[in-house]
Formats: sequence, C-alpha cells, structure tokens
Amino acid sequence: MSVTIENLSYIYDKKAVFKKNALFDVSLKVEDGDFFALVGRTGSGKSTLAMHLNGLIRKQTGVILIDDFDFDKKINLKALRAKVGIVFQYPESQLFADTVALDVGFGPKNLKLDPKEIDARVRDSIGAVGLDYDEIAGKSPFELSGGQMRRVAIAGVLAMKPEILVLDEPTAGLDPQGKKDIMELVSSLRSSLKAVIMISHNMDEVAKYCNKVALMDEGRLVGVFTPRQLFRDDTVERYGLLLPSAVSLAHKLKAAGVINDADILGEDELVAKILEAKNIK
Amino acid sequence: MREIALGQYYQTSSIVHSTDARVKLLISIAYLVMVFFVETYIGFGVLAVCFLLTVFASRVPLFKVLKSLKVILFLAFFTFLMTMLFYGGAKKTVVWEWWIIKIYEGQLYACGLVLLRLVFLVLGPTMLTFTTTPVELTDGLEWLLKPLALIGIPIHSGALVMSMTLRIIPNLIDETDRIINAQKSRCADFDSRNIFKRAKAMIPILVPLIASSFRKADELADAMDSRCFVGAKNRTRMRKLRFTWRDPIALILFAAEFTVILWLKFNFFPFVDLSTVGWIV
Repeated sequence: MSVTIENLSYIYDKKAVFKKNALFDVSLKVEDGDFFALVGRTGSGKSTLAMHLNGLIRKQTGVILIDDFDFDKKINLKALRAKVGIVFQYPESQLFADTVALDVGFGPKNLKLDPKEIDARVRDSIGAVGLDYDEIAGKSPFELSGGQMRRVAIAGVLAMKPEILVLDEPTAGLDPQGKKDIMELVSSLRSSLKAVIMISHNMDEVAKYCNKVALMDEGRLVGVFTPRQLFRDDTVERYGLLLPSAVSLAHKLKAAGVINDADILGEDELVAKILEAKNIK
Repeated sequence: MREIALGQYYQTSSIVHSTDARVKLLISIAYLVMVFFVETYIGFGVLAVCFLLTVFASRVPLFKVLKSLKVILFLAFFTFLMTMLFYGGAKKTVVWEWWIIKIYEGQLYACGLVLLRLVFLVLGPTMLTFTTTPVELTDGLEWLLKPLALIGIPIHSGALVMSMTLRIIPNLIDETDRIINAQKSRCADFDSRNIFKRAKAMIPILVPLIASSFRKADELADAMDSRCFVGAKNRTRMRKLRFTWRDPIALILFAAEFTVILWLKFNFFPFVDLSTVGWIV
C-alpha cells in the first residue's frame, strides 16, 4: 500500500489573512517499508502535506493515491483515517479521557469495533509503546510523566491499527534520553506498519533512522533523496536546516586536512574514516 | 476555526476609525438608549440616514455591516411571530386571510417597528466593533470605568486581564485547531446530526483545551513574575488614547441626531404639526 502524490497543489482561501503553508506541484512516492522523512523550515508545507494524507485537508488539485481511496470523490474518512494514522506535534496535549485505557480506546471506539476487540487493541498498543498495561491502564493520563503521556498518545493512534503512520516531530520538547527512546520506539514499530512518515527538524534523527528524505521549501518539493545523498554537501543549510552533527564534524575535519573525504552519515563511519586516515587499526 | 471573526474589526483608515474609542463607546451607549425613543417610521428613517452616513464615512463595505444581522435572524423571526400572536392593538383592516389566520394592518405596522428597532440595536454596536480594535475598546472602557477605582474596584487589573485575554485568543484558536485535527485523526465524529452526540463530541476538545489553557496561564503568570511585574497600576501604553478635533464633531453630530429623535418623540416644537405627515407616523 504505497502513497503516491502527483502534482499536488493547495492554496489557502484567498480571503484568508495567513497565506503560508500552501503547496505547489508536489509529487512524491512513499513505498512499503519506507521510513520517510519530510524536512524543511517552518512554513514549508510539511504539515499541510501530511494533513492531506488522512483527509484533514481536502485535496484541491493533483492526485493522491493511497490504497483504493479515490480522493476525487467523497471518501470514507473513517476508513481512511484508520489506515493512515497521524500523531501530531506534542500529542500529549490531546489526552482527555478519565483513564489511559479509555483514551487509547477512543479511536477504536469511534470505529465502532466491538468491546472485546477494543480491549485487545488497547492492551496491544499500550504494550507496543513500551508501557505496562496493568500498571498504567487505570491511571488518569494527567498523572503521567511527559514521556509517558507522549507514549500513551502514540498508542492512541496505533490502536486504530493504521498501515501508515505519520508523525509530526515526535521528539519535540523531550530530553535527549526521551528523544532517543521515542525514536527507538518508532523504529521498532516499523515491522508492524507498512510505512512511517516523519516530519522532523532533527537531521541527526533523519540520518540515523530514515531511508528517504523529502526536502521542502516554501510549499515546493526540492527533491527526494536518500540521507546519504542529501547530506553529502551543504544543500540543507541553504534551505535553513542543519547538517547532522557527525557530517558537519566530518566536513570540518576534512577542511582541516585530517580526513580525505567527508562521505559519511553516522558517527561510526566517521570514526572509521578517522582511524583509516591515521592508520590506526 | 480560522474563519471566526474576532471582534470583526475592519482594517482601514477613516474618520470613524480614528475617532477616539471613548467617544465612540459613549456614543454607542447613548445610541442604544436613543433607539428606544424611536417610535415612528419617520424616526427610523432618520436613524437609517444617519447610519448610512456613518457607514459611508467609515469606509466599511455596507454589505459587511448588514451581514452582522445574520445572527439575529432567528430572534427576528421569533419576534415577528410573537408580535403576530399577541398583538393587542386595534384589529380593523384585514390585509391577508387564510383559514383561521388573519393578519391586520395594525399588526404589520407594529411588527415592522419592533423588527426595525431590533435591527438598529444590532447595527450600532456592530459599527463600533468594525471601526475600533479590541485593544482600543478595552482601553476606552478602562478610562470610562475609572471613577469606579474611587470605591476600590481594581479597574487597572481588570483591564489588564481583559487585554491579555484578547491577546491569548488567537493562540487558543490555533490550539483548538490542533486538538480538533488530532481527534478527527482518531475518527472523532463532530458532524453528527444528533445534538446530544454532538455535545458529547465536544468533550475530547474541551478537556485538553481547558487543561492547556490553565498550563499556559500558569506559564504566563510565571513569566510576568520573573520580570517583576507588580500590579497594573502605573502601566504605560504604546498607543495612548487622545482626543482630537474629530471627537467634538462626532459628539455634536450625534447630539443633533438625538435631538431630532427626541423632537419626533416629544414634539418640542408644537408649531410643526407632525400629523400632517399622516400615515407614516
């Protein structure tokens, strides 16, 4: 179940005061098994694009193909939203129910599943985000720590058993350990999902986890790259983003003549390069 | 949510816009009183002419102003119905008859007057909000309520609370947007026809919204505290309200209108026989 987007354009109401976040002629394809990153500075249209995927924004012009949903006709939004789950920024701010179990079960309940199925899904998804069902299910979501709340919110989307998961800056506002834990969690979810799409400003995460990166700027798609292609030169810096820290360091080491080429992506490769240059075995 | 017009201020520059907010407030209050002195069609004619002149001078498109009447559509219909049912005046000439329903001439006249009064009661304050920003309004109100400070009512703090509320509302709308999108992504149904279901559907929006409002209020209070904000007493303003030459003119013009209305009502000048204008009165 791939996601295909062709020539998608979106313009906000002409009368609207804020005319940012429009899309112009965006085409891209997300294949099964992809961990797809959407990067670009604030207002580049990443979120607008993401909100098209589950029908929160109605398509204006262009083509969107997801499964057998026909975006040109009236689509069954519930079915689409069960297929494409979106975890918004700071998802913990959307928790509302009396207990964690009820909150996680909100999506399945809206899908009118039977109570047994709902219960099973709630258990599964709370487990999937690395929390202990028995310990946490009966608690109020407001008693939890920030990291736990975010996990519960992600579980709330997973409980709908989506095939494609879209995450809008899943690690924003967490401490370094929290960031790492959430990224490991998302990475571990990949096996049960067809594709993961992540909006991110953190290029270290993109370099480490994603296999494809779409770079956006002012509503236009600059291109779709592999992380290695994208971070080879200073392209991202021209679009208001930073290189991953290891790559940036490699460039400096190369300029200083310590290593010969900066063609690396992660820390391990950088270390290998330095060892090679220094002839240390 | 973006469409919600807040205070519906219409941005342009005109004599009406630059008239002092305090003067406009005073005039608006007096205007509401004045509308109740109008009891004839001639009186409403005078109101209409003055109103059109004001709209013209304010450069706000007339249709925009008239659009504000949409909110009283139901109320107007209800008023019409009530006047028709409980009209106590003379029932002489029948204008229209069907089955047991008879509509009398007197009824229509009375109805017209009530509806016109309603319309003008709405139009006046509408012009105030079209031509005065919420901030100016608060400042104006604060100034007008100043005497209350003498009996120990904390006007300054009240005004501060009000202007901060106005400041926060756009953020609140953004937040509401986010939460609605998130819950929609979990298949929440906000479009049910059933009014109880719709009310219940508000819970997943209201709970997170209230929770985040409290959190933000707390943060704001801390931020003010940490900058040693004590009381609102000697707060200075970036835009000070200033009386100008326009203000006495506005007052004089309004006083003239009021005089005409009072003259029509109490007939100050008996030598002008109002009955000569016959049926309109």
